[in-house]
Amino acid sequence: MQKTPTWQRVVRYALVIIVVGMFTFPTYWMVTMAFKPKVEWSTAHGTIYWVPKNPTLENFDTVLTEYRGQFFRANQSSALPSIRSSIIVSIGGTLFALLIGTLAAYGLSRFSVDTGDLPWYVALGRLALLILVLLPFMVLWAWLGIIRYWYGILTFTILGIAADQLIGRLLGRIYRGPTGSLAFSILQLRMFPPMAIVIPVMIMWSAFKLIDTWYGLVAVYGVVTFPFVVWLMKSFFDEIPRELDEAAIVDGASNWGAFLKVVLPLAKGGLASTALFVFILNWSDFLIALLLTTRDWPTIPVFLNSLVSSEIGAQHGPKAALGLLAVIPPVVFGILIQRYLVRGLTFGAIKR
Amino acid sequence: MASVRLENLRKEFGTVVAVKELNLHFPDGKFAAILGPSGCGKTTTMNMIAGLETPTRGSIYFDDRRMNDVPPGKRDVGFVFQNYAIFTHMTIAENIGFGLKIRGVDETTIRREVGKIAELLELTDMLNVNAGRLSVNDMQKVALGRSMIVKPRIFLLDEPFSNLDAAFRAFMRGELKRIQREIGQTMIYVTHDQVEAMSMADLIAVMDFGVLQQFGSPDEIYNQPVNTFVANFIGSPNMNFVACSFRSEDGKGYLVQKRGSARIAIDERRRQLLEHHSGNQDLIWGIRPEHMTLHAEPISSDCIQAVVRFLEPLGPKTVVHLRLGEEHIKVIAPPSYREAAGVVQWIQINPQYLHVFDAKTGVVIR
Amino acid sequence: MGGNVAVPVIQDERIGETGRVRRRRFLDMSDVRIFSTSLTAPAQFVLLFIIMFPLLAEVYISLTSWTPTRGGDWTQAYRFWDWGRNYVEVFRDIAFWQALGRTFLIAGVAVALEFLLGLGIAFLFLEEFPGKRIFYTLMLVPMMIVPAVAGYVFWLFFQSNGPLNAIISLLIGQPFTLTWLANDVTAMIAVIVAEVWEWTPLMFLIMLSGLVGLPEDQMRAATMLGATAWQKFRYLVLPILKPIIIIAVVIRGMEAVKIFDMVYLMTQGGPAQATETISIYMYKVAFQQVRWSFAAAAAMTILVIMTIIASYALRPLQTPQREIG
Repeated sequence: MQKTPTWQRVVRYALVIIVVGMFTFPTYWMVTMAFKPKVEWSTAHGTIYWVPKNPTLENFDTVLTEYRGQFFRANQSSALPSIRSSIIVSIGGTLFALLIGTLAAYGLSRFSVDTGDLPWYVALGRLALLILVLLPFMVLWAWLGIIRYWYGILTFTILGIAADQLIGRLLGRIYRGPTGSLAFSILQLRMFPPMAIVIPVMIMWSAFKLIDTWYGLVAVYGVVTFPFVVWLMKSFFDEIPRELDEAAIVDGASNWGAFLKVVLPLAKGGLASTALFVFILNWSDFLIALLLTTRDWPTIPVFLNSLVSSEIGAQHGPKAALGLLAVIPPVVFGILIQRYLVRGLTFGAIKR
Repeated sequence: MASVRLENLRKEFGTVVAVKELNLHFPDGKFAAILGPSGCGKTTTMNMIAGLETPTRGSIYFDDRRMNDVPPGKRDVGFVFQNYAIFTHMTIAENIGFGLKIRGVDETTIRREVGKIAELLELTDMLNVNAGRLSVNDMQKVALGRSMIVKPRIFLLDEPFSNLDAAFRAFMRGELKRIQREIGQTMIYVTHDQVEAMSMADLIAVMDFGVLQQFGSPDEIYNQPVNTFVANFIGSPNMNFVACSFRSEDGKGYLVQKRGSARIAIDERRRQLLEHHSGNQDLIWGIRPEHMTLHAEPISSDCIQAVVRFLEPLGPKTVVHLRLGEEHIKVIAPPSYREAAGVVQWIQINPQYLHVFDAKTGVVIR
Repeated sequence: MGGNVAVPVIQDERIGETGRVRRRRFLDMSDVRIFSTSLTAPAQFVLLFIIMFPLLAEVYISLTSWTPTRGGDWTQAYRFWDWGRNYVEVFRDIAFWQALGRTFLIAGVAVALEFLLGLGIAFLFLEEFPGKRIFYTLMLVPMMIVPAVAGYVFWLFFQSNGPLNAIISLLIGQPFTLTWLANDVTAMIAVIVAEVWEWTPLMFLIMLSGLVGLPEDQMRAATMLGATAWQKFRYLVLPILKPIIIIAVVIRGMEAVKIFDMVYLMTQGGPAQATETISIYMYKVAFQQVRWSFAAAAAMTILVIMTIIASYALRPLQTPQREIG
C-alpha cells in the first residue's frame, strides 16, 4: 500500500493515546483509589492525588478482615461472605444455564426449521389467550391454598404446559402464517427489562422461601443467561457439519451417543468460551441479587453498594479495593475469550 | 493515451527483493503483457505502475511525466483486478457508473455513458442486476466496463482471465483484443499463462525472480529466447533440453550428448562461435517438440536415434515421449502416428530452430 | 442397522416449540422426535416454570390491589380483586410515561454516541502502530467491568471534589466545582457518559471486525477510480457494513433500554426524577412505595410494549446476514 505520511501517523498515534487514556482513566482511578490511604481519598484537603503518594494495602485489609464491632451491612463485617456468595452463585448459575442451554442449542441447531418471523400480534395474542385460560386456575389453586406447596406448583405447571399445547394447536387451525422459532422467542425474552420479570419472581421466591438462598439465585441466573448459551452454542454447533452426526449414527451410535461423544467434544472450545462468557454475565449482575438477597447471600455488587460503616462514613478506599477484586475475574476471563465476546454479546449474529 | 516507461525500478519487501532494477518501455497504444510464474514480481510491477505500491527506488514515467508521487486515483489508470473487485452491493449499472459518479458527473450523462459501455460489452440487458450474484464471466466484463468509463490513459489488467472457464477465456481473449483495438488505449496485463500472452499481446515482458528476462514481440520471444528460462516457459509442450559438449572433428562442429550418444552436426557459423566460447564443454542444446520429425529409418546422416516410451494423443496432434540416451524428450507427431513403446525411431532435427545455451548461465549462444 | 437409520433431518414438521403450528399425528413417537423433544424439553420446562409462572402471578396480582403490607400471602390476593384499575392508573401516571421516554432518550443518545465513537476508534486501530496489542486490550477493558462497580467509579468521578472537576480546573486554570449529579441536565449527561464508557468498546470491537473484513480489492478498485477517502467511506464502507451496523445498534439499543445498575448507583434516579429510567421507576414503585399490584401492572404494560418493539427491532437479526462480520 501507499505509505501514510508521517504527520498523519503521528496525529493518529496521539489520538489513540488520548482516546485509550480517556477510556482507561476511570479504571485507573479505581485501581489507584484502592491503594490510597484515607487522607488521599478525596480533595477535601485541597489537593487531589493523581497517584497514591503513600500506597497501602489497608483498604484490602478493611474489606477482607473481620473487625469486632465494625459492621458494614446487617450482620457482616467483612466482604468475604459476599465473595464466597458471588463465586458459588455465578458458577452455579453458569452450570445450570449451560446444562439446559447446550441441549436446547443442539436441538435448535440440528432440528429446527425456521419459518420466518412471528408477528407480534400473534405472539401477544397467544400469550393473552394463555393467560386468560390459566388465570382462573391460578386463582382456584390459590383459593384452594395449594399453590404455596410444591405439588400445587407442579400440577399447575403441568396444566400450564397442557394449556399451552392446546392453544398452539387451536391457533394452528386458524393462523397459517410464519410461526417464528423457539430460538427467536428466546431472543425476544432478552428484550424485557429484567425488572419486569424479577418482581413476580421475587413474590414467588418469597413464597417458596427461596429468597436469600444460593439455589434461589442460581435458578434465576440460569434462566436469565441461558438465552446467551443457546445462541452461542447454536452458532458453534452450526459450524460442526451435520454429516458428522450422521456418520456416527450410521456407524451405530445412538442419537445421544452422536451428540455426547462426537459433537460435544468437537465443540468443547466453544463450550468453555460460553461458560466463561456466561460466568462474566452472572458475576456482573446487580439487580437480581439486589432484589433476591438480604442477609446471607448478597453478592459482591450488592455488598459494595451497601458498604458504608456507621463509624467511619463513606468508605471510598475499601469500596474501590472490593471493586478491584470484583473486576479481576471478568477482566481476566474477558481477555481470554476476546475472540468470542462479540459473538456472545450479539447472540451469535456477528461471528468474529 | 500514454506510453509507460520504467527506469531502474526496484521494490523490496523487508529483506525480499520483489523487483530488481527493472527497465521497460511500453509504447503508446500497444497491448503489452508481463509474463512470468507466480512470485516473479509481475503483480508488484503492475501495482507500482498503478500507484498501489511505492517503489523502493527508480522511476515510473507516463509519457515524460514522472508519476512516482502522483496518488493512484490521479494517475488516470484503469485497473482490472484479478478477482475483479466488483462492488457487490451495487447493481451493474452503478458499478460501471461509479467512476463518473465520484467525479460528480450528472445522472443523465452517467446513464448515457453507462449505456454506451454496456453496449460495447454486451451487458445492456443486465444493467439493473445486482452485482452480488454475477458469474465470473460477467464480473470480468463489468470490471472492464467500470475501468473503461473514465477513459483512462493506461489500462492495467491483473491476470484478467485466470478465473474464467476455458471456453469463455478463449472468447474473451478475442474480445479483449477487439476492445483494445477499438478504444486504442495502452493496455498492460499480467499473466502466468503463456498462451494468453502469446495470443493477445503485441509485446511481452518475461520476468523471473524480479528480473526482466526478455522483452519483445511474441515472435521474438518464441523463436529467439535469450535464455533457458524463457525458452522453457514459452511453448506447450515445452522445449526439449539436452546437456551436451562441443567437439570439433575434421573442421566440422558437433554437439555430443553427455548422458547418451546423440551427436548433432552444426553449421560453420555456430562452430566458430562455439570454438571461441570458454564454456564450450558445458552446453545445452534445446529444440521445440514441433521442430523435429520422427522416421522409421534414418533419412539423413543428421538423424539421431531414440526409443519410444509412450504416446500422448491430443487429437489434432500426438506428443511422442522418447528416450534419448538417458534423457527424455518430446516430439510432436501427426495424429495418425501409432508406434508402440520400445520401437526405435530416427529423429530429424530442423537445425534452423536449434538453440544452444551455456549450461552455467543459461544464456543463449548465437 | 436395517433400513431404518435415524437420520436427524426433518423437513415438514415444527419441533421444539411449545405448541406452535404442527401438522402431525397426535402420537408420532419416532426416535428422532423423542430425541429432539428431550433436547429442548428442559429449556421449555424451565422457561415455563420461571417465566410463565411468575408472569401469570404478575397478571394475577396486577388485577388486584394487594400489597405485601396488607392481606398477607400473595396467593390470597383474590380477596382484593379490582379488575383493571391498576392498568388505568398506569396509563394515567405521567411519571411512568416520563420514565419510558427518558429511557428511550438515554438509550438513543448513548447508542448513537457509542456507534460514532466505536466506528471512529476502529478507524484509528486499522493500521499498525507500536503497542497496538496493549492499547487494543486496554480499550476492551471497560466492557468487562462489572456495571455496578463502574457505577460506583463514575459516582466518584462526578463528585464535586472528584477527578473530573479537578481535570477541568487544571484545564481552565481556576477552581471548578460543579455538582454534576445534583443537577438535572448534568446528571443525565453523567449517566449517559457512564453508559457510553462501558459499551463503546463493544461497538469498537464490532466495527473493527467489520472494517478489517472489508474487501480490500474493492477499496483499491475505488482508489484507482479516483475516489477520495470520504467517497470510499460513503459509497463502499457504509453500505458494506450496513448489516453489521444494524445488528450492533439494535442489540445495544435493546440492552441499553434495560439500564439500571449504573443509574441506581450513581443517582438513584435523582435528582428528583431527572434520571429515573423505567427500571428505576419500577424499582421505586415496588420497593420504596410498596405498591406491588401497581408495579405488576406497570411491568405487564412494559412487557407488551417491549414485545411489540422487539418483534420489529429484532427482524434484522433473523435474516441470514451472519456471514458478513
